[in-house]
Amino acid sequence: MSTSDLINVGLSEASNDKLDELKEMGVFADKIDGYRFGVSLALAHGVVPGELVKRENLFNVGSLDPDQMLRQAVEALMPQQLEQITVYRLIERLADWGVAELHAQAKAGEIDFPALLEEAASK
Amino acid sequence: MKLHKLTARNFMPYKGEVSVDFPADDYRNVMIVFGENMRGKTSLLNAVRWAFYGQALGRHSRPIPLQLIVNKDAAAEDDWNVEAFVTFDADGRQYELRRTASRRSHVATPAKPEDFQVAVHLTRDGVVIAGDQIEAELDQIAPEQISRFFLFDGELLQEYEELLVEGSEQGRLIKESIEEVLGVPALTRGRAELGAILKSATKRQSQEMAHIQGLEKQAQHTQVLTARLESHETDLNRLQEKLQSTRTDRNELEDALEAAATVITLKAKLDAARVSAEEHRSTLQRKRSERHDLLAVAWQDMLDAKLEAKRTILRERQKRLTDELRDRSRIEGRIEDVKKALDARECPTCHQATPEKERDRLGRERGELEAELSRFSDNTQALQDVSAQLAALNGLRGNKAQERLVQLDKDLRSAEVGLQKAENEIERIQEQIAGQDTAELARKRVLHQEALKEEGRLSNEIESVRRDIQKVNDELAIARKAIEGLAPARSKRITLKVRLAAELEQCFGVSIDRLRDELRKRVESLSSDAFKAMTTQKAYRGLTINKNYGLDIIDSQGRPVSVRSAGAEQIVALSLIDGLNRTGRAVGPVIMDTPLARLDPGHRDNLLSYLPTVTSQLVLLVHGGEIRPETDLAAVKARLGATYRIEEISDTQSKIERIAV
Repeated sequence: MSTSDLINVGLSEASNDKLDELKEMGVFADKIDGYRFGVSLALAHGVVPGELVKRENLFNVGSLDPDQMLRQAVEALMPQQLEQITVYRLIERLADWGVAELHAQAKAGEIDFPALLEEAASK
Repeated sequence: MKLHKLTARNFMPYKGEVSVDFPADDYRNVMIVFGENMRGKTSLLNAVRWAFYGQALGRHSRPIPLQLIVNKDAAAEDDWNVEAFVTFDADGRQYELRRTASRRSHVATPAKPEDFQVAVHLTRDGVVIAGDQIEAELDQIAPEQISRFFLFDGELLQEYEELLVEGSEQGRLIKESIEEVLGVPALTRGRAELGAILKSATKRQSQEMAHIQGLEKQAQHTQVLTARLESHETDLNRLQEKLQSTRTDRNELEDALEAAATVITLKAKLDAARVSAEEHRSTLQRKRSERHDLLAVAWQDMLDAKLEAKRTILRERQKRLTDELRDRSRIEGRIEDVKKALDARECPTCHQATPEKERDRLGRERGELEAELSRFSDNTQALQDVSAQLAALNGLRGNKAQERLVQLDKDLRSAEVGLQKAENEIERIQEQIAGQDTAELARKRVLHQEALKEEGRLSNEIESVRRDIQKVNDELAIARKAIEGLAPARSKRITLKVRLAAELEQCFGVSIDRLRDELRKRVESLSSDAFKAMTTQKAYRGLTINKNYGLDIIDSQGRPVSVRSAGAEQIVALSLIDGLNRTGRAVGPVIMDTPLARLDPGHRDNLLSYLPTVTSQLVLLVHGGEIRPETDLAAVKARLGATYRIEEISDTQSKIERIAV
């Protein structure tokens, strides 16, 4: 496990572009909203993502998770993963997977958010 | 006469071929064609009219140019062939009538009727009728002059209701056209011819007598009167021509203003559509913003299920740890009590020494309790950690995002559809009103008012000139009488000619009045019968028609009814048209376009019961507001031989289908 956690979280270069596109498409008002939703999507699916390729800094942790709710959710739901990696490093990997998934769905048509929520509720 | 079948090709809204079969049964002789406005009811009537008379009529009975008869979509595909084919029988003979029009070979895009080659073909019992005989043959069967009484539309009804307004200008025009139709003009023209002969003879008589001593004064007087008469007649012709041209201008202005009224209505609709589009845009903006806000927190909902499962586990663990702590505390308390009892060696209540047996039992109990206590680990920290974790996770709850998103998406879709509709409407209306100039409309409105005033002024002037002519004619008659007695032998011949022409003119005048009276009586009798059959007020005696074809309903006491409803006026007009139709020809088919618009159910049922009895076939072209197929056909159901419906394919195309009711 890495000893120090991140101050700024980011995404791979590819996912960052995808998040830009999602914002331009009007799916999210701000990139940070898409980032958080991406994390939650990956968490809901129980995804264990790998390391980021060509990482780019995006948000200060304080802005992303001001009341540390995201951190607590990840700590509660992925305790095993946190044995090898810090929380915010895990969070950005989750976000990377989630953003890529959302982008793929948006490209295939329209993201059906109620269906995603329904699916998450039934898992 | 009976119509069998109409087949039309590329005729107005009917692209390609459409056909209707008219009812063949003598009793079930009613055909109803349902169609909403602008779908092609009048075009069906026009197809029959064009087949018979080569003319389709638009508003104010104006001919529709041939290039506008061709279906627009067919023309766009460069198919400029139009055709109407009618089969019918009359006097036991079978007829086939075909009229076709096709673009002349040297014309690329027809812009006027002359750009078409029109051909008409008529057979009687399979034998071809020569081209120059066709018109006469058709005139025998269904005279064109009275065709407006058996191929008529709602506009004619409204026009004829004017006859109920005594002394109206429209009434005078209708009277002239009725007399034209009923054969009076032959006599009128005869009288006019004789008048011209008389005038010329009088002139010549004056010239001859001017050379006879003693008669110069009379001759001069007659010459002056004749010159004055000619001058008045010239004035009358000039005024009549001017009135006609003013009337034509006014009609054209009326058409333009009616079209403008449509533009004004369309502009109001455009404004409403713009407001509606703006409201939908604002709703979309608001709902999209709400959706964004919701998606910003919806990540918590995504984790709700998993976190709830986690919370359940933590709560169970918390309970277990709490239970353990409580058990541990209970055991520690008991150990303390046992320890105290052992240390005291006597009973705390009675102060007697504790028996050894009891001390032994307490010692065993203490040992067991201490063994049990040693199995507990210190889980206070663990409980604190679990409680802290629970407290943190309890703050992470969903926002019912799913159901709110479903509702928002529904609202967004609805607003998007509404916006699309409004934008389509805006585009459609903008296309319709493109190029309309409001200043030009205002100018036309003023011109229309001026034309109306001018018509009134010209009519008064014409009346005045007519009176002058009558006065001069009276003076001339006196002068002629005077001359007759004075004329010497050498002017006897011309005097005789003048007398003969004068007497013949008088004879024609009397005949005109007599024929008019007889025709009017016949029309009055037939119209009155029709009115009695169709009115719902059975106490009415019937109708009277005055010299100007002004109509009055006569009540049970023989007095004219002064107050009439719109429905009653329509029945009166229909009765007159029926009377005129039956005065002008033998029983035949009648095609009526939108005749029931203002009738109440009682009048409508009477009309539907009566007209089939006085026609060989009754074809009604109606919209849903006149007859509802589900409820309004009781009066005519037994006589219903065919029903059709006109359906819109697009704004430039319709189709007609036979339906069952």
